[in-house]
Amino acid sequence: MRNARALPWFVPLILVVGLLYVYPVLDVVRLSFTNAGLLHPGYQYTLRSYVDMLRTGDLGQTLWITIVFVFFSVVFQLLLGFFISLAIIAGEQLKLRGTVVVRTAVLAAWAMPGVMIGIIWRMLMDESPSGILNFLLSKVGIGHVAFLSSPSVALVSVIVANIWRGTAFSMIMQYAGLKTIPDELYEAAKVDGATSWRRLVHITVPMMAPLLMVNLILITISTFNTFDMIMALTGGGPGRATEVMALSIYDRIFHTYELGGGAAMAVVLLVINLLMAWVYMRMSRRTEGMTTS
Amino acid sequence: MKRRSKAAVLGTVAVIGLTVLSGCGGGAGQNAAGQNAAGNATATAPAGNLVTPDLIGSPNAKTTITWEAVPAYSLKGSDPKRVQYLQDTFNKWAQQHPDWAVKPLVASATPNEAMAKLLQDAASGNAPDVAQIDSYIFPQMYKYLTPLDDYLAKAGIDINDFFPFAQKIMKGPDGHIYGVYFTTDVRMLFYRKDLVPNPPKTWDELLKMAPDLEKKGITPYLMAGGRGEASFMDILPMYWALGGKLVDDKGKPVFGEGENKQDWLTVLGDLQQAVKQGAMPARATNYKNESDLNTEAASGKVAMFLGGNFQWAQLQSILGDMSNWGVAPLIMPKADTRETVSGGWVWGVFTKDPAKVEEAVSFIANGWGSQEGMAGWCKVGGYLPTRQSVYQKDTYFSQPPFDQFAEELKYSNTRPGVAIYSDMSNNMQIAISSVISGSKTPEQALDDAYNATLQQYNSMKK
Repeated sequence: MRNARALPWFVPLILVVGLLYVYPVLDVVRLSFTNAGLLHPGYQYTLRSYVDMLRTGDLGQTLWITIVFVFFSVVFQLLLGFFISLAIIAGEQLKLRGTVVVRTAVLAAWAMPGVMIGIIWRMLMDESPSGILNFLLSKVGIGHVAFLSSPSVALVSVIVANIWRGTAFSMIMQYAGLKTIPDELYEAAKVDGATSWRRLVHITVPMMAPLLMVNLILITISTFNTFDMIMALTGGGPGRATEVMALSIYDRIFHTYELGGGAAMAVVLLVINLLMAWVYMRMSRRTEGMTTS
Repeated sequence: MKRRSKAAVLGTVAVIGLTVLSGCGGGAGQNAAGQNAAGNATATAPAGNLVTPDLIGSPNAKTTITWEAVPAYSLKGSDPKRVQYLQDTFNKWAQQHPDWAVKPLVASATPNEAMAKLLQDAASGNAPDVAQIDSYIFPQMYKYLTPLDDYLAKAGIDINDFFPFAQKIMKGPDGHIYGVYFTTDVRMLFYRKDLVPNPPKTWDELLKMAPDLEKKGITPYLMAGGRGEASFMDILPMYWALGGKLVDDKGKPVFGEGENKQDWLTVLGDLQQAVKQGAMPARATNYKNESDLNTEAASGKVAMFLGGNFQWAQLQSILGDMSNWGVAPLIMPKADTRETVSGGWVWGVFTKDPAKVEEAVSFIANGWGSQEGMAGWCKVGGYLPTRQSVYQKDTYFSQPPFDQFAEELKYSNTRPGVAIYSDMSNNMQIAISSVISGSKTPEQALDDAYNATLQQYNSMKK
């Protein structure tokens, strides 16, 4: 009864969410079952977009590049974020100066728009005589590196740029998590003679595990959706060496005007994201349960 | 108390929801075309400045037309000189047309996104009255546009004054004129006069002179070879020079079959050889458009590059002095051939109301279509005029390097305005980039691009 009285108050919000979020998603799903395109009138309902995606190997190749990109980005973002946050906590305990500066500097990378990060890394990895990284490498006797024009190196370059961009988010999440671990646990372990390595393995990591899992899922979702930075850095090239799924969707819709094909690829990405979101919600509930119990 | 706070929360939710909704409604209303609220008011004699970023003309004007342009061509552009030019010319028009007002709409800054949205709007009957359309998309719009023959004649715009490539775009398949091609550009070989006294005419000549330049630590030749429209567009003249065709008369892709395939293999093979023999570095794949090459050119370590006329002014602003640089026809796969390619923008009119069409054409002529308008806008924007008479009458355009650009425009062509072009271009960009980076042979790259394009073409037809 009370719920029934509250419902009318939520109608505007439901309308906004329905119109601006749910309807567009449903329309994308509908479009994925058509051959709609902006350059030809009308469309038919068909499974062709999905069939073509599987038959030509387009999905397989793009998915593989995306998985490599996501896997290495996520692993290194998580690890680097963890080590930087540990270092900051240690710095704070030792009352070292500059921990706030380090935190701010790392966060600045996260706050920057992806396109700008792409441009910055493009300038760094420039292969012309004015390229910064190649110049520095030449000073230590390392030859010219084709950062962006070699298909295999270009993928590594894109991953490195993305790790640089995303580490801050992991760092800040894990910094917050580390702050919640009671000092008493570490003090008791020290009394028992535990080395710093054992304290890390037996206290820090287990206490942080639920948060690390949530962190992992959030950055996985975000990395799967990355395209702006890659668009500015390599445009998906050379060839299709750095074409991840989100970039492929953008290309299909805004470059080749294929609504059906682009929507089909978007639905595949949506399914991956929904799976991740489902795992995230399960983990969040488990974390909440652990906190309240 | 508890109940009151709950009510307050619900109230807040409702207010936020309604605010968002009313915001959406307001936005839609603001973008709506047509008569303004004071449509019945009598227009008074205007005075002073009648141009604001949101309205050109008197707020009391009887009728309003909508005009959509990309940001750089709009009153909300970032270049003060362009905005000033537009304000001055619009003000002049508004003073002369007191009963009319123009509502400016700004399209996306990304041309592809702007064109995608415009195509969608046109198909659903929601296109603005006047819109700026990319020349290679323009033929896709014929079916939605209004023929302008009589209106252009009345405005004193003669289609025969336009370069032949521009006429081909302006005229629809039925022979009617559907737009005003008002700015263009042209691709040429930019070369350093001190390093290259005689610019190469063919790839063989380039390969012969490359080793000497390399020994001096100079990159012989560069072009945009990455995932961008420029890499396909700029290479098309070489393919056309061999007689290659992209599509047949029905618009079906044929570029991967028979002689056309051989022509592409020749062109892609030339690129492959240029990289293998050191005439062009593989880092060409890092460049998505011609202007990306400016830093390389400014570094003083590049002898030649395939560029657009617009880079002349860009390089001038970087280098100051351009006396050491020259422009020449593009390098061709065989001797005694000469081809180039042009892009540019066209104004199209979507409204069917004759009175609005007449005013729209007058608005276009005033700003960009007349000789004065075209010369003024091209000077301030760094574009090339599409009317040949502008080069004869305006001293700015009759001197070097504009006289060379004008000469080259006679050999220019535009990209085919067929529906499959975007797919074809995207697939060939991947092919070109793959060949230059060495990840695919010309044949593999071409076959992959052709098969993907055919598949997309068949999907369109079903």
